[in-house]
Amino acid sequence: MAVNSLIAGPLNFQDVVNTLTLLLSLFLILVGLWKLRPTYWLYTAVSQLIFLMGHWEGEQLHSMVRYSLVLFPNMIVLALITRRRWASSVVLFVFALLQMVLLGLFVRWVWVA
Amino acid sequence: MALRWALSVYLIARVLASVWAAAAVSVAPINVPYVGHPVYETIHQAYPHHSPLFDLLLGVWFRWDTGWYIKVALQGYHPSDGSVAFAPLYPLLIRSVGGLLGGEYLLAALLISNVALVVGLALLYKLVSLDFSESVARRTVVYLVVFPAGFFLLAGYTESLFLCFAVLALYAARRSNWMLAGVAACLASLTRLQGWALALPLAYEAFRGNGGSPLRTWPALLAVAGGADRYSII
Repeated sequence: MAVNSLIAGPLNFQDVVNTLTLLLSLFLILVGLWKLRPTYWLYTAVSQLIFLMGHWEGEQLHSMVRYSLVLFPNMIVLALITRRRWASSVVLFVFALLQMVLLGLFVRWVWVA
Repeated sequence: MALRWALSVYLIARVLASVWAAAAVSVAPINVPYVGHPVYETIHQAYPHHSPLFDLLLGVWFRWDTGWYIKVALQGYHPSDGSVAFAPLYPLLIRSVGGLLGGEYLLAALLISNVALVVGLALLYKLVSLDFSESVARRTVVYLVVFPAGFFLLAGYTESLFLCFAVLALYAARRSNWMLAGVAACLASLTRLQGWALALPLAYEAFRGNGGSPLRTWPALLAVAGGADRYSII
C-alpha cells in the first residue's frame, strides 16, 4: 500500500506535497464527520481509502495531490472552518503558491502528479 | 448566481494559469522525456495546425497523461502498452469532439475538460448552497480551483469531467432525481476508477431520503455497473 512505501523510502518535493495533502485530507475528513452530511463524508472517506490502497513501485503516495482534487467535500469543510478573512487569506496564499510551483514544473515536463 | 460565480472563477484561473505556463516554458529550453515514446508521437496528430502562439497557449498543456488520453482516442487500447490504465469516456469524447474540430484533438481535450469544469463548479456551488450560506459556496469553489493541483482541472486530464459527473450525481440525489443520479454516477465511473466510491453515498441518500426503501438504491448499483462496464470494454 501507498503508506508502506511512504514510510520505507526517501522523500522528494513531490512526496512532501503528497504527504501534506494526505494529512490535510485526513484532517478534513475527520472534521467533516461533524460538519458534513454523511452522504458527502461517505464519498470522501471511501475515495480516500481507494487512493491509499494503490501501490506504485518506488513512488510514495503516487499523485495524491491530484487525486485529492475530486474530494470536493473536503473543500466544503475547509470553507466552513475558515470563515474569518485572515484564515481564508492564509489558505489561498499557501494553495496559490504551491500551485504556481507545481504548474511551473508540470509544463516543463517534470512529473508532479 | 452559481453559473456566474463559476464562470468568473474559471476565467480568472484560466488566464492566470495560461500566462504562468507560457512564462515557465519561455525561460529556458525544456528536456522532453517522452521523445521517442509512442505517446509523444501522437503530438503531431494532437494539434496538427500549430503556430508559435498556438504552441504557447495550447501546446504547453500537451503533457504526461494528456498524451495517453489522446493516444487512446486516436489508436484505441493496446493490451501491453499501459493504455488500459486510462478509462474510456474521456478519450471517447476527445475522439468525437476532435473529429468535429477538424482533427484538433488537443484543443478538443482542453475544451471538454474546461466546459466540464465550469459546469462542475456551478453544480458544486448549488450543492453547497443546499446546506450552507452563499459565502461558503463561493469559498468552496475558489478553494477547489486554487488547490495546489487545481491546474489539472484546466488541463487535458479527467479530473474536471469526473468532478462534474460526481457533483451532478450527488446533487441529483439530493433533489431525489434518481434517474439522473444513476446516469451521472455511471458516467463518473466511466471517467475515473473511483467513480465506484459514489455507490455508497448514493445508496445512503436514497435509503435515508425515501423512507428506507431498498428499491431506491438502484442508482448506486448503476454506478458500480458503470465501473464494471469500463473493464469489460477494455
